Amino acid sequence: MNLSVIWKLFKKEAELVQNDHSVLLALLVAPLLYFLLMGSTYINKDEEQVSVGIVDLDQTKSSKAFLNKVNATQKIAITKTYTNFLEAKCGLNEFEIQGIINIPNGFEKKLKKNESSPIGLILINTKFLSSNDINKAVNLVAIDYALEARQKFFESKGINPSFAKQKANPITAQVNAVYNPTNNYGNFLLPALLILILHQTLLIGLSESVSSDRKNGLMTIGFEESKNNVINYIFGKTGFYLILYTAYMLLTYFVVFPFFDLPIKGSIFSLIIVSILFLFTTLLYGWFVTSFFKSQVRAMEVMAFTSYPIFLITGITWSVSEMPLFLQFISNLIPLKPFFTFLKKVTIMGVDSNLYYEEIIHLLILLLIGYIATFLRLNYLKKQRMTLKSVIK
Amino acid sequence: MFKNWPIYQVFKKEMLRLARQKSIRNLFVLIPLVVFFLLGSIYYKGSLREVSVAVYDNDNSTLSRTYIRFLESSPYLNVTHYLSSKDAIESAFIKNEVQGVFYIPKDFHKDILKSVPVQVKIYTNSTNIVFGNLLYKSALEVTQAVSGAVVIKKIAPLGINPAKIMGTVLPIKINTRVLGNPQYNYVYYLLPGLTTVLLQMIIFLAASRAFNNEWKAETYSQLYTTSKGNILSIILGKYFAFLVYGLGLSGLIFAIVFPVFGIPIYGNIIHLLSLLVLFISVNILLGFGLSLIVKNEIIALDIAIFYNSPAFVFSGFTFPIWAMPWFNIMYAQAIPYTHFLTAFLKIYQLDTPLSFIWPEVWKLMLFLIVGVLLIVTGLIINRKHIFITPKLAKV
Repeated sequence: MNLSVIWKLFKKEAELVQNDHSVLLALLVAPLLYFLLMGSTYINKDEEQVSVGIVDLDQTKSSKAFLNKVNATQKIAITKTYTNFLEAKCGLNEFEIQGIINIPNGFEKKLKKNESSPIGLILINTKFLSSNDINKAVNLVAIDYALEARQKFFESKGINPSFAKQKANPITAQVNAVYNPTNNYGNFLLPALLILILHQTLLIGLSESVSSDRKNGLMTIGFEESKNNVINYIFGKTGFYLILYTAYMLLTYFVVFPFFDLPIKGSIFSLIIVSILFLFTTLLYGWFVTSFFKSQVRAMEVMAFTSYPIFLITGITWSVSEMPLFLQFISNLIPLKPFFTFLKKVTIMGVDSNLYYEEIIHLLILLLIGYIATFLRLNYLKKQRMTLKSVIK
Repeated sequence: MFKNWPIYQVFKKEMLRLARQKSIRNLFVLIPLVVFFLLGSIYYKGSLREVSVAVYDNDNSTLSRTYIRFLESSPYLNVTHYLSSKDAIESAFIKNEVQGVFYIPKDFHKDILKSVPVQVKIYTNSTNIVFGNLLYKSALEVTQAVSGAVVIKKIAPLGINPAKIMGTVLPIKINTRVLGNPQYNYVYYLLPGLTTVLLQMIIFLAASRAFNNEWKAETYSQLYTTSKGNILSIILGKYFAFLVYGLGLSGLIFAIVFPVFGIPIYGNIIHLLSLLVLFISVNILLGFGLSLIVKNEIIALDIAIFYNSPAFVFSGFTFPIWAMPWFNIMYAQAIPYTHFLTAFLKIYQLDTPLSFIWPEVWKLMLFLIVGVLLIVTGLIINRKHIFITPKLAKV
């Protein structure tokens, strides 16, 4: 490793970034704007006041009491009252409401006679989050009624009220949402989304620079300038990005995480070190892939379309083990996958270091693969240039 | 007859130009084929079933075993580990890779016989709320079922009319009917949204280079000659060519990707096609406007990527728009995809009559007008490139 050679290449890269407005936009403007724009989307972390319509054909004290209880739940708001089901269906079709509670005639009568009294719940399931919240709220209110009815029965048999209450609900489930106590959407998605923003802007910026080098024949010249040493070349070429994105990572952990009230329960030191390891691995991968592009435009276009598949294949929303084998294999080759698992363990779970060694080893293996791929690619390009030179001679 | 029309000539020329461009081949063929099928394959199982959970049965009684049998019979749960100590509970999430732990306390059976209420503790790994929600729902269902069965056993000897048992144990029965995606299938839920957002991105990105690329490649003068100096013919000719490409891509989505992954289309195909034509047109015109205003195609592409990338997040598909801060709500309204998605879901999943999508159609029409205004702005700003340079070249 020759530091003066690395420094020379580093300065050259910084100049390239400074002079290329597009790279500058991708590296300096996009990450901050995306943080602001996309991060703030989840600032409330969870939905509230999901709009529900009602068709109360019973119009009794009991039906109103039931609906009031539903309305009093945290996430539900009864926003529309319809006189018949057809009218309500129109509201559903217009997406004015996300669900309909339909109370039929005779609801109260049946309740008073201790007969099972059915209620209709119609949900639009085009969006899972809202439909789940309505379903949960209405069913919980129905369970409250069940407990009350059972208690009344036991009381009617001469059992004292407190004992009757105990008998009414012999088994309860206490669900503890570990690591994300309110089970909210923001804590689940935001950390990964912030890292994805950094990952994608880094790849787009780097891809523009590398494809421009390739197009202008500067790649092999740069390699020659680094005295044909892969380590010199890679550190020189990617050093600027590594430092810039390490700074972004620090900004993320020390400013953005506290701003969005995201926890870092584990070791911050491990988090920073592994983040640098992840960035370097990503840079090697990014360099290798984009070295196949000779056009900045094509490289940018392809990189822009990797966001969704890369994010989803890492298993952040869907278990990797539920994916087909070939996708599990691809997923394991992407540095984001072990990094997301590590991030989850260190930030939200706060586990001991012995429980995330596997992810660090995984990243180190990917780093090695990235290095070998870069080494082979650089040597191939060098040979290609030599052949071209000899042909010209 | 129309072969000599300038619009047709430009259209033909544009079709060929696009077909020859590697970038367009990547955008309209390679990327969709790889990305659409990859995204579909991620969720190929459709819905989450048999989520692995661990059980710590500290009672080991007939009733606790019954409770475990209920857990095992749930289609959403798979009891993969049986823990033997309380300490193992926390590490179970990491070591055993389970998503939930059920803890049945000591004297579970005895206490129930003595009518002392018992509590089954359920710990869910809510770092992923998909698992968290599913476990919450399943845990409540199982516990309520067992609890209800115990209550029935206790009620029966006290003398109750058998017809009224259910009315006492469960007085309100919720009959749920789910519209749109009753199977709770993730492929049906996510793939249509993801493929259509990529449709917008692809068309917008390609269109954002429609004019500036001609200037860069110095082929604009030729185009100007082909159109006989008529800028409207250039715009319309190019528009029809992009429309053909856009519809081709839509064909890939709805005629190949949807059937391959078994995604049903409940709505009217003609309505859907009309909506798609409007949506594609909006993106073409907005892209054209950008391309005419920003001469540097890479900067235009940067802007196009920046504008389009968050479209899915802002569409309200996975997180509702009403739960976002006001600024984000405004940004969401400024993306055509947000409005297209609402209309698209109404047609394709709910099969609503056409009148229900008018609000979204009007909004998309507004975007069309914005597109036209951007094009006019571009024509004014770069009039030298558009009108004067090709004339001079001719001379």
